[in-house]
Amino acid sequence: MTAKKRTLQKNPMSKVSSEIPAAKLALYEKIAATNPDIERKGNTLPYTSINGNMFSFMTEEGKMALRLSDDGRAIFMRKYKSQLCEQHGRVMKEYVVVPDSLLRKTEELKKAFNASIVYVAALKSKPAARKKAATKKKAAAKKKAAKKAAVKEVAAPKKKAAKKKAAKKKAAKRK
Amino acid sequence: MGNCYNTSVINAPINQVWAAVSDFHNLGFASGVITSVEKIGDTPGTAPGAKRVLNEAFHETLQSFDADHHSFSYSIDDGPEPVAQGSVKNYLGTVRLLPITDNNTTFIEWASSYESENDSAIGDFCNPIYRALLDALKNHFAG
Repeated sequence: MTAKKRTLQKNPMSKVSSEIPAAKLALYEKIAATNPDIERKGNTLPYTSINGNMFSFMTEEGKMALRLSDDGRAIFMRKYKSQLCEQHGRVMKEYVVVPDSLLRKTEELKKAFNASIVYVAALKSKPAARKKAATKKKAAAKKKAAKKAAVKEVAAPKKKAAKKKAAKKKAAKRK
Repeated sequence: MGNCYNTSVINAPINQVWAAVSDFHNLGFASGVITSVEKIGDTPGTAPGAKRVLNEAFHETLQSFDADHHSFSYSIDDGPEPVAQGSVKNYLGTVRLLPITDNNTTFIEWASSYESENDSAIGDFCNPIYRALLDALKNHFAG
């Protein structure tokens, strides 16, 4: 099969352009489609997620990465002589690189893919975390506004008195 | 009320499939997918009231067990969002087997019903898990 390159960038506004060999992308889509309730996402870099947590993706170089539990990673790396995924010089400690030979064996890879789904499903959901952070931010902003208002309230009479004093001084000077 | 519905055909007679899925404390057929099953309490895995924690996150209780009709139901009492306690009410999962008599295989139905403010989020969350479990069961009896 020829490894034709296909640009995945659908959004012209997207800054990152990615070129993944079409054959690899097709294999990634095939594995994602084995679980009909999982949607392949990502305009630029394809990925799958559950409950807001990503569990697989394809690197710009066309390597598939899969998120597994501690035990799952150890077994997977031993069985398929794989390693942890590295992206931009950083090791992604929960992700293993899926060897190309396994990526071609959809039925076999499906077992690890499903293990990944169930592992990630048990993790804390991301949207809830974001919601919590947003609520915290909102509360902090409210607190800040209240503090500002209180300072204004205290400062207002002082300002008024100073203005009155200045006016009195001006009037006295005129006399 | 929301619901999930997943089915599969398992290449094994119903008694074998039932033996694999019916013990609430043993998900050996899904080893690799379910990484831990913690048995809570002394109630055996075939008696209503049996409790388990799956993958250190899903707290479940066996609600009914019917060996004659090859079915059981269980509740999710707590878990990660969106099936966390407080986010979902009356979550009841049901596993039911039927024999396919023309080739001695088994039809399995893994369904659930629940009440929540966001039914679709629960479906999006639970359906892939049930699909993964059914695939694991299929693999267990493959070859």
